[in-house]
Amino acid sequence: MGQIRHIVNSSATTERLAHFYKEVFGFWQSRPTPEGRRTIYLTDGHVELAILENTNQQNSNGLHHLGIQTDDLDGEISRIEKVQPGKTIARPQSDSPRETWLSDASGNHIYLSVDGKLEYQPVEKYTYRKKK
Amino acid sequence: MNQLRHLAIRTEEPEKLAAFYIDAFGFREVKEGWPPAKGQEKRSFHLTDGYFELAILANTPNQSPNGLYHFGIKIDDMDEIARRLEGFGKHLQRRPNDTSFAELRVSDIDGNMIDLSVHGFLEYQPVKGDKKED
Repeated sequence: MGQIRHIVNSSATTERLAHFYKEVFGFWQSRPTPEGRRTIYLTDGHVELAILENTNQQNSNGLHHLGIQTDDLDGEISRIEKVQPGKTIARPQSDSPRETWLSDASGNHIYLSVDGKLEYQPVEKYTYRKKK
Repeated sequence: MNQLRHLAIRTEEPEKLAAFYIDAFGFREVKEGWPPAKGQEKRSFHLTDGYFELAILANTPNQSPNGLYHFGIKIDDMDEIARRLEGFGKHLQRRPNDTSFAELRVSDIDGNMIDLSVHGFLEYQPVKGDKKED
């Protein structure tokens, strides 16, 4: 069983867009922006909304991919390969794989992971909520 | 508290894509037996993982590109959200009365479409006049 826990929007102006979601909907930052990057990770407490850096316009702005969390990555990959005969999913090069990428039956990009996206260090988890 | 609860994907093959999410990830259909929407040859699917709703929208004939289309936020207080949106020069748009899942729509400041719903995406309102009573 998978759970949708992550939606990603690509934007050329990530700070501006993140400000909108914080101010209008009360979302807060779920984890720090990686050093040297401008991607901003927001959450409502259960699902993450990532504002993906697209400052060099490598992609179209807008919805980019979704993330599904699973308990059993290897089992999930095997199940997906059965559902889509002839399609092989790249198995992560690791002894204990935690994540991989695939596309659904229409070609939409899915980030599949065991850890999800909210179990990272929640450094500023409640910063914005306290300000309200 | 406002919650991300909905994502919509447009596709020309809704049956095939819904089957993928049901068979691969164990998602369930929120309610079976929905007729095709007006102007659509095929029906759309509303799936859930138990918390989040994934809409697989028929895109026949192609009204817009296939792919990730919009997402939805369940809101508690429509007036308060409208007030905050006005601060960004955004105005809520009411959907037609027979829209089953989302009463309101707005776009963010990048132009991404957001469905807003006070009643929620899993506690849908039946479409007026159709024949899908249990």
